Amino acid sequence: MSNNLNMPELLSPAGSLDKLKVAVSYGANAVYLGGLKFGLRSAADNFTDEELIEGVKFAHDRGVLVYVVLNGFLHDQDLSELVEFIKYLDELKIDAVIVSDLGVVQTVKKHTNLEVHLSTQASCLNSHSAKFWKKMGVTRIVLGREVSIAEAAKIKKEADIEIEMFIHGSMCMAYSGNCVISNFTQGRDSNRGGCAHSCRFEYTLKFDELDFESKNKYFMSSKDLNGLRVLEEFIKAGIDSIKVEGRMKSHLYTATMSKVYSEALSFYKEHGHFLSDKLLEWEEELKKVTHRTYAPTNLIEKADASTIFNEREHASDTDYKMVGRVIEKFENEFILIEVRNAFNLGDELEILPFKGEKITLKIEKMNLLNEEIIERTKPTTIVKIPFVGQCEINNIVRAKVLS
Amino acid sequence: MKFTTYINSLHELSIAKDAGAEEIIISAKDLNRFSKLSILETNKLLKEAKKLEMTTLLEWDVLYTENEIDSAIKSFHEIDLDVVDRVRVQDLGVMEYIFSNTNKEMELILENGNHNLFGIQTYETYLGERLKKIILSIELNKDKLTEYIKELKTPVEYLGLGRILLFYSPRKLLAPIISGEKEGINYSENSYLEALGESEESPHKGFPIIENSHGTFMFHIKDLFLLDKMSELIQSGLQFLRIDLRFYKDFSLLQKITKAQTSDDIQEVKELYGNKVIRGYYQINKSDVLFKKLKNYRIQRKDESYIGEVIEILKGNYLAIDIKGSTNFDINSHLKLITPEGKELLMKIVSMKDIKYEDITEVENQKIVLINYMSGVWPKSQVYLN
Repeated sequence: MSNNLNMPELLSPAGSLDKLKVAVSYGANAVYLGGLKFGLRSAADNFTDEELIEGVKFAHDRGVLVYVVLNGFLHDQDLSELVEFIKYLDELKIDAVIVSDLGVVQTVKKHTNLEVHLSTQASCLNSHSAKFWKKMGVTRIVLGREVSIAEAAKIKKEADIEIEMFIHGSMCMAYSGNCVISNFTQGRDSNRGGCAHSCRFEYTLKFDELDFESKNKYFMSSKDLNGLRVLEEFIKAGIDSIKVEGRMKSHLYTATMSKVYSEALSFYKEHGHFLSDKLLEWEEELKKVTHRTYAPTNLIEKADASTIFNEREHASDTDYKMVGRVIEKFENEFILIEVRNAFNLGDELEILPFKGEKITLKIEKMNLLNEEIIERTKPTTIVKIPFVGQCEINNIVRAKVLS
Repeated sequence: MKFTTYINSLHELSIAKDAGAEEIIISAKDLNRFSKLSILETNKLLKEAKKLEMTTLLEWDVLYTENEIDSAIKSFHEIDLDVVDRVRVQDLGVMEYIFSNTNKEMELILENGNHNLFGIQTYETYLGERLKKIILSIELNKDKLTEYIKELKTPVEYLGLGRILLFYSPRKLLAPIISGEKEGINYSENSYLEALGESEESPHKGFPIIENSHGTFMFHIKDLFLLDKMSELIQSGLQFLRIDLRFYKDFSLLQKITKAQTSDDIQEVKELYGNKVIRGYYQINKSDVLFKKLKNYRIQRKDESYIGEVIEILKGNYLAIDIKGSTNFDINSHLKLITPEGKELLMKIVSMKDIKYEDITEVENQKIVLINYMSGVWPKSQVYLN
């Protein structure tokens, strides 16, 4: 049964050119990325101007949209440097910029024809605020992560504007844009890309009035958002775009999120429901990437005490690691894997195809390019393994993390 | 330059009047992050302030999601707006609501970000004549502050003394700890809790933390103190200096502050105040200079003659290059390699193979090529035609 519902766009993070290709290949409808400046991820690889050309071409050739983040709270000096960059983005025909500051919105409107999306960093939380931003020329609102899906539907209706919501990933505990701990304790402007993640620190809390002290608390750390179980609510609410957080995260994360959510959306489009064991399989897949405990946070009800991730961060028993990427295949001869994490002869690996079931393989033979036989790979090497029929170039290869 | 301050009681109102304050900020707990006043108490205080011919500023600074703002709007309309001169707002939804649904004069709190003049002037243009004051961020240093005061048509307010808010979350973060560990205490949705936080991962100890019905707030361990810069602030043309004594034990300090004339007077205020203080970013804001250290720019590609990146090194055998650029090269090309440590190495290609380990002399459609080994090269070294 084919469904006539308007399906939301799946928007995946692209922290680098490689990750953009991964996101696109694994099913994202759109990607968001940063240039070398003006975003909130100074430590990410981000894109040089030349990588942007290649990335935009790669995405557009496959019908995937590209949004560029300019969501820092920019200072005057930044604004003067911004003009040249946004004109360049306009020439590249990127599909939108994601902005959090009114001065940046107006600068983009003044100098380009680019679409402007309002970043979650602006903490737009209600329809009155959305109406204001619409008047300022914004065409889409990425709502604050405190807004429920039901509230988002109301905002969309009241303000008559495109709505984007986060569906998966790490969460700020503070209202986005309302945390300056890094600014005042580490001299790093969190709202221009210098967040030091002080909210993930371990704290001791002293309640003097209660004569009580509590040690080893991660009281400001949030569990990760996982909206797979309520994906149908997003669809029914008419949310225009569902966004995966994580430009700093791994290739495996980018691949897994793009694959799982795109397959889930396709399934719903075809069947009109999620009444299938596939849902359990997708959930298992989401657990295979490194993550804090998942929670729906504010999507249905207000985030309560159960959404605090009050523990030290560690790899879980279900975690997988990316061991490499397929970089070449020669029909019926061999495939080449660019190794990121070491593996051994005899190990069981999984190749994550762009669509469909994972390919499990046991490594029974490995060579270096000069045909030298090896029993253990090293990171940053290229190894040959026997041909695997169903795999494709850029497939991610993963293995279970052994505790 | 005039002083503006928060008041929470008739006693504080009387002190503020005696101290010469011409305007005061009042609010109700339903609308304000830290007020403990009911609507009834707020209305009473506003009326008394008007009787004293003071300018009354109702601060509505809580951030609201769609469902919450409806309830806050109801609370707002329970306020006796006849005794409110202006509404101070921060949430842009609240700003838009007041602007579109009332005829009240407004003050706009732009302390959160808003570090460029173009943006601030856009707000100024949008709100027009009804905008009576802009509250600027303390992350703007004195030069920027002076520049903005000159350029803006609207009077400016800047924090002169008070706590520095670092973190605002709608989630209750303290109550779960108490509920889980301290027996015999039950906390309701509207409980008020205070704590001091410290982390071994930060050199700063004793962050004041408050939880109330609006969420959890964390402040800097030191308060902002710019009273010793008063003459400089007056010269800058600043119209309003905010003295925030909401978290200080003795409101009567306001009288000493407004009457302070000499550096000795200021010093006395500082000593009486007692809390640790800083000037924040008042002198200079260099909060972006550390960004250069957050990643290795040497492994970032620079084009023109860019070829690609070394992805594998087999000692004594070959370097594998992932071709990423569009620069042509062949077996006799001279290369420049820049290692992740920043070392520049020069080499000539004397042998070249494809990934089937077959000799080639030029690059055709290959994505990866193997060239002769050179010592000192590391994976992620960037390769350029020299």
